[in-house]
Amino acid sequence: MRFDIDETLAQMLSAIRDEVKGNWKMVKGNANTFLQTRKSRLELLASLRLANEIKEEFYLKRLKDEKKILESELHSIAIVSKSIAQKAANAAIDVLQDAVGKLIKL
Amino acid sequence: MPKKIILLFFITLCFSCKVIWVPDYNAKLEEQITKTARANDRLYIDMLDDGPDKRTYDHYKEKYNDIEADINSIYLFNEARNNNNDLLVITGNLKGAFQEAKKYHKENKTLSDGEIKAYQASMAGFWKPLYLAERGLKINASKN
Repeated sequence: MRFDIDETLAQMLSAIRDEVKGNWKMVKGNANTFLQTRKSRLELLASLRLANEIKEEFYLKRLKDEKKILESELHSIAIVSKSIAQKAANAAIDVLQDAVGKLIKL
Repeated sequence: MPKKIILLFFITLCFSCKVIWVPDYNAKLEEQITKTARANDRLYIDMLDDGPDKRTYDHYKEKYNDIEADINSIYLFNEARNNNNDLLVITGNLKGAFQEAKKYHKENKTLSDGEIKAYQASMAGFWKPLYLAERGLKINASKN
């Protein structure tokens, strides 16, 4: 039995594609959720400030919080992306291991 | 021939490797995050329900300390995990924000409706990335 490297690479690529496709929607979904909740939060903060329900100093501190929240959101998205990449990479390695395993058994 | 040897070398190398870039998913931690985020939200809901005269820091001290202890425990758990860089930033930001909100209440004795609503929204903003990150780790826990 010949080891067909091109066929194995094609199968590895297909395994990566399958893993990423389904999970990528999750990253997009999370990014949209973050964006929507930021919009509502900023609207709330602005309305509270305009109605003089919070003082200027307090308002500016909450805006400073937004920077930290954004930092957390970006790290959260990074985790999900890495998680997807990890699963895809391992699926490709599994394909390779399987192909070589079959070859060794012969 | 040398090409085949190099290919065989890489294949052998790959045989013993699995890529690990993120920590393992932990269902108990996800539950603890949900529970503590809920307690944090409930703290502000209760404050809004109580009149301004009842909103003293002392009245809520116990709840504040319970939530802070839970956040510290989540931080400690994340500190002990491998590949934890992103999670530590997220949990650290949450911890800092909660401590700041607690200190503000303590120093000002009470909070206005507006301050409570603003804190409630901001704290939810700090919790969400942590919750979604832990859920994102589930991708590697599932078979498909």
